[in-house]
Amino acid sequence: MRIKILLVDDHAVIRDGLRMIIGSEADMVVAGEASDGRDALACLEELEPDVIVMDIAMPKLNGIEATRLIRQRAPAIKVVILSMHHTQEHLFQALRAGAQGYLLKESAGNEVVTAIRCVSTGKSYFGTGVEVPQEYLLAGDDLPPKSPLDTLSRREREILQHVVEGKTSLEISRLIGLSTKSVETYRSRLMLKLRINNIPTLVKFALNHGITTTD
Amino acid sequence: MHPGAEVRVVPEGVEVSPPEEDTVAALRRELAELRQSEQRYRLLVEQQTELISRFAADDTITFVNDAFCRYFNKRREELVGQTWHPAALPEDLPFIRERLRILSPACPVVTIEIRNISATGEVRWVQFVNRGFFDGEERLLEVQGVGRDITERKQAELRIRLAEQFARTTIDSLTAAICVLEEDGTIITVNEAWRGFFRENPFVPNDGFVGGNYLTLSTLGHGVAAAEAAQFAAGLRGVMRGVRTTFRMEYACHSPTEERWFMVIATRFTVEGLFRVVVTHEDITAVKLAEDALRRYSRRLVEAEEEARKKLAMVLHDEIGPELTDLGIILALIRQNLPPEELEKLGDRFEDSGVLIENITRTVRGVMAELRPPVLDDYGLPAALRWQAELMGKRTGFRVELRVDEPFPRLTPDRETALFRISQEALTNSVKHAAARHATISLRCRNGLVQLVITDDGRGFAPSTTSFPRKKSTMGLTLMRERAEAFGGRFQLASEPGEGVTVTVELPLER
Repeated sequence: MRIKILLVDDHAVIRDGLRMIIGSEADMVVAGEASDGRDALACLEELEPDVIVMDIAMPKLNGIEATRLIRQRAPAIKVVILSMHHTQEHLFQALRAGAQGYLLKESAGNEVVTAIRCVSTGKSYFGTGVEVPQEYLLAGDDLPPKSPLDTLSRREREILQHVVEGKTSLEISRLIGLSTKSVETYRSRLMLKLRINNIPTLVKFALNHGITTTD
Repeated sequence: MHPGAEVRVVPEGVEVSPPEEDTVAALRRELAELRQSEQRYRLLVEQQTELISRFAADDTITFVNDAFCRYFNKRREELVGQTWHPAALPEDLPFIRERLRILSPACPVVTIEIRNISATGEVRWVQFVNRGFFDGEERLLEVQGVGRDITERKQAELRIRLAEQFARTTIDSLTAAICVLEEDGTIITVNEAWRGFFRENPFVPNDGFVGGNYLTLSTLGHGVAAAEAAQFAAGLRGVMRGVRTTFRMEYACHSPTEERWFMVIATRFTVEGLFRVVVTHEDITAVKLAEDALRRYSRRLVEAEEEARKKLAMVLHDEIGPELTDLGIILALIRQNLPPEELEKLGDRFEDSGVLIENITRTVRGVMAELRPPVLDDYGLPAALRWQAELMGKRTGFRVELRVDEPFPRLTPDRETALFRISQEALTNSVKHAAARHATISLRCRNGLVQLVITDDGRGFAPSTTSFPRKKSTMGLTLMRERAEAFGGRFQLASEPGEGVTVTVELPLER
């Protein structure tokens, strides 16, 4: 049974893009689209979606309010919120309204599929750049049960290698052809993924997992 | 005659005895006494510092004393017997002659002040009291003049007149309306500006002139609020009773056609037990209007700044934000549709693009937060203060403790913005200027007022010295005050060196 998804966003480009991305997944289908919260509520019974991917800021009825109403009417439906804002306040409001997932819009394209899959199994999903609240960290909901290293992309593993070898961001940026800012973003990302917040621990982790220095 | 002697009237033909021995002796004694008297008198006259001269009706000098001779630097022989010429400045001569002509039995004494040039060439003043002596037929026999050098007195009088004139001219040239009162409130003198004010404002009761009583001058006149009039009356009483030396206050006194503001100052002084109060009224309308204009401009500045921020934030949020999102989505789409061998080659680069988009978004988000925190617009003041506290903690290690009286209502957006900006400015000052490590913010809503109090543990400062030392922070203070007062609110800053700074803001919830 494919996961039925309802896309709700007032921005056509986003709806189209997400539809195409989700449509490529074999286990998912986009059951419908709406451009605001009110429309979304209206087509709930007709479409019977499993997961709703919804923008937080929309005219007429905003994402938070709509989430609250949807969860009241059909508690089985899971909601993934798309937002421009990464503040704790915004996140809390979404979670309090009953959302299970929170994605930043800039990573929507890359992570929407993972998010949908995650929440459809009953877990919470917090996208890249969103600070996971303490309670959820303990529950460990957001980590898929795989080796931590596997969660890293090839690029991230590449950068990890360089970091472990003791190279500075400047040196790494020259090697790869990226700005130091981008290198640092990768580094924070991979450290977030691995739940490590200092370099010595990172190095230890890397060595433990077979990533050795090449010199 | 020898005492005890009798006077006998001897009829004609009767024998008269010759004068006896004692009569002659008696006569001799009397003569001696007379001579002694004359000598004493002469000594007295000679010892006089006053200048004494006598001249006959034909202007011949009959007598001068030593002092006279010394004063005019002439010998007695040069003077006595000569025609009397007043030793005065030529221009004074006609006047002297005229005065002397007044002498008559009915008016035997004439006082004349004359000027002459002394031996050293300076102008000296002498006052002569001239007494005329007349015979039985009222003919002038002789004039005796007693003179005294009054140069010092004349100079002192001149100095006093100069001082008075200087004072009067100065006081009359002042724009402030000035009057001087006696102990009971009687007006004893006023300046030109005062007279001018009453001329131009006929609607004010006319007790404003010399002789009138200021206390009954129905306290400051028309157009003044009763409360202010009472306040002034109380202040003036305090000065008049000696409770205070000075009292000043500003008050409004609008004419039928324009708004005007004044400052009144009452000051007391005593000289040798004599008590006076000086009351001045100064028109400060220009200053007040300038202050108002300044306040309006400050307000406009604050509003304009807020408008500009809003606009910029909107552009970022509505235009750049969504387009970045779209970019991310399109990239993801492209990546998804790449054949595997291409993905192998380009996968990393797609990821790099994603990171770039993430960086740009973070920058945009940072700028937006600087301009207008989205948390403020979406969730209100307490949430925004929490967000700000978190941010400051992360960036600078500065700890902010927030105490909010929940439930805290949403305020109008402009009030929330004003309070947020004030706290922003206050905390920035705490970190930058006061080297504080910790601050407490308390926020509560009570009795139709919202109260925000921010206290830091920095080094504080003495508020009276904020006029010029740090220009930047005083501008910030002015704008903070401006933001509060724009809503009819209050802004207060309290600090002592070493005691940190406490900012208190109160805004009414409604206008």
